Amino acid sequence: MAKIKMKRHSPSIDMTPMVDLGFLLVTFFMMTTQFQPSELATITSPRATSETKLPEANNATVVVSKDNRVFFRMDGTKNLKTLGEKLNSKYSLGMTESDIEKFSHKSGFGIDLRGMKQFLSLTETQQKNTAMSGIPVDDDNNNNQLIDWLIYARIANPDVRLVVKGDKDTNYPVIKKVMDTLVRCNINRFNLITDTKAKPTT
Amino acid sequence: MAEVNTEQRQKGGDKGIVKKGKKLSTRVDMTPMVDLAFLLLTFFLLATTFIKPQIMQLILPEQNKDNANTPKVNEKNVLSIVLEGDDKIYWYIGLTNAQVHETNYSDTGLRVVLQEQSKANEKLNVLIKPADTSTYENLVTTLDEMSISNIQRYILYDYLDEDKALIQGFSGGGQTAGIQPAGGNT
Repeated sequence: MAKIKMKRHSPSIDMTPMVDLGFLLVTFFMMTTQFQPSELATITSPRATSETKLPEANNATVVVSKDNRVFFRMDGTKNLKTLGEKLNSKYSLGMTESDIEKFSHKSGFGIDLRGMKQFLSLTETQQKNTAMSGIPVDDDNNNNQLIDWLIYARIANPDVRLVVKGDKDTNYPVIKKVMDTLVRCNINRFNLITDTKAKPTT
Repeated sequence: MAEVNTEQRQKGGDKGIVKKGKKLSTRVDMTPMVDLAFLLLTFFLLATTFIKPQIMQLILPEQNKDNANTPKVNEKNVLSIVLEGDDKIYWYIGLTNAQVHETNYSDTGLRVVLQEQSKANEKLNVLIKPADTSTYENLVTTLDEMSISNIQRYILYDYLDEDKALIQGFSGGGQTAGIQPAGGNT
């Protein structure tokens, strides 16, 4: 009987298809990635059974942290630029063109507007180390700056969707203040960010 | 070094011998590039936010300056839910001589109350009155219970002095007054 000769295979495999796929995926993820904005404060959202997802664009978020500080966040550099210009002229902050440029690249704000110019002049690391005191929402002292943030945010982007992101342990009075402010700006319809919870089986 | 080479080549040309340049393989080692590509792939895979946050829509009534347009509701059709601190809930129907009950956020607490009450009265309106001691979580859980029990007519309301008096009367009469060890926080 003739011996069956095993065909010798080369030990190297053609990896071209794999590499092709690799690059395809890299390009895909590079194009679609939207980086999570840096956290202003650690927020644990309360859980609810709602299943609606938050759309990606045109959001303005009012963040309320556990220690009762209020932050404001908005997407879109162009919108933020308009917002910065409007706030600048309303509060006569004296921000220069470059200050507004810096303003438009921030992912969130949580300081008194009167300290904004000084805050923007700091370096990135200094800004990170600055304790954010939160946006004043004080109606008693006539110092409710959140109203102006909201009004000008709507002017900058009329399609803006208002989102409230509160920590589950936030005290109700702060939340009420924020909600009252929203209603005062004629924003009656807004969204609360929640965490997943299984629907009851009945 | 290039000069030396050309000299040699010229010399070679003079002698009539064509010196063949070392034939380089056309295959380039692509390993480092592929390594980098996969590194990037892993990075973007991990950095992508897959989970979109979930939202719950809340519609608040417009702020009206005059009370003329406020609709009037029969007291018997009003269920008040008072959210107190320490995850306590008190509920009662109407305001005058209201019978205060206590419940909690568990599956057999508020949900059962809402389902029973909405079944018993079709015209039921729910007022959610969060006290200053309550938390955001209490509010969201209650709003969520509304959607679970499919109650459309509810409103966020202020915690009034009347409510406070009712609840104080309840905890003063039903139980011994004073601070009770809170055990319902689990």
